Amino acid sequence: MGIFSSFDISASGLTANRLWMDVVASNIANAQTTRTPEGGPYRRREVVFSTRLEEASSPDLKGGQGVRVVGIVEDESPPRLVYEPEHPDAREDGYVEMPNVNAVTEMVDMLVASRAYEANAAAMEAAKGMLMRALDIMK
Amino acid sequence: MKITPLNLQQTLPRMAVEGGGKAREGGIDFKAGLNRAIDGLNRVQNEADDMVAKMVTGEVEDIHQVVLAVEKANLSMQLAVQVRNKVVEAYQEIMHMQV
Repeated sequence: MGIFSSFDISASGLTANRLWMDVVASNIANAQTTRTPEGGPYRRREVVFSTRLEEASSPDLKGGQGVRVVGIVEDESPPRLVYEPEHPDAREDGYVEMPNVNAVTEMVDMLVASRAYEANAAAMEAAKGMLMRALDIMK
Repeated sequence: MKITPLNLQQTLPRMAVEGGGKAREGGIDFKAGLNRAIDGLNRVQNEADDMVAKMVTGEVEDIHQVVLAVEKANLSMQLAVQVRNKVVEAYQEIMHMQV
């Protein structure tokens, strides 16, 4: 479906940004999590985006590249240390390893993901408007 | 500038073929094209149906996939209706023609 390739591209952007929103939500939810199945505190997660060539568009045109999430990676920065000796997960020296999640960074990521989702929805709407205008010519 | 004269032997047979109701060279038969378009329309409508059914049964992860399928079905249907209107219009035009 050649005429709908712009829809598919915008849809891939919507899917990718929704997944990013999930990851940001997970980071915010686990901002205080000190226990994980892998041991140690929760580590902040990030999404990695990659281009995706749409099957519908012809490959020689180099256009019509959608986006997809190729992976979710963990932030390798060291955990935040908080002095709290009575905490059940405190180390011998009284410090607790808290997740390396920064609430401000997460808020910014959340806004970017939310606005990017809106932008993709707007692009899809514009593409629909173009098709509708083309149909109006026939009337 | 050299002007090549019109070669009737080459031009006339081609015109005869085009007027004979057969498919032109490199073109598609009208009936086959119409059938394919209707098949495509039907497929898009069925996809939209499936997506809506999946949404109400909770199988769909992304709402926008449903919206996309429904939107595609809507646009395809509108295009088909416009084409049909044009065909009927042309038919009426010919029927009202004074002979």
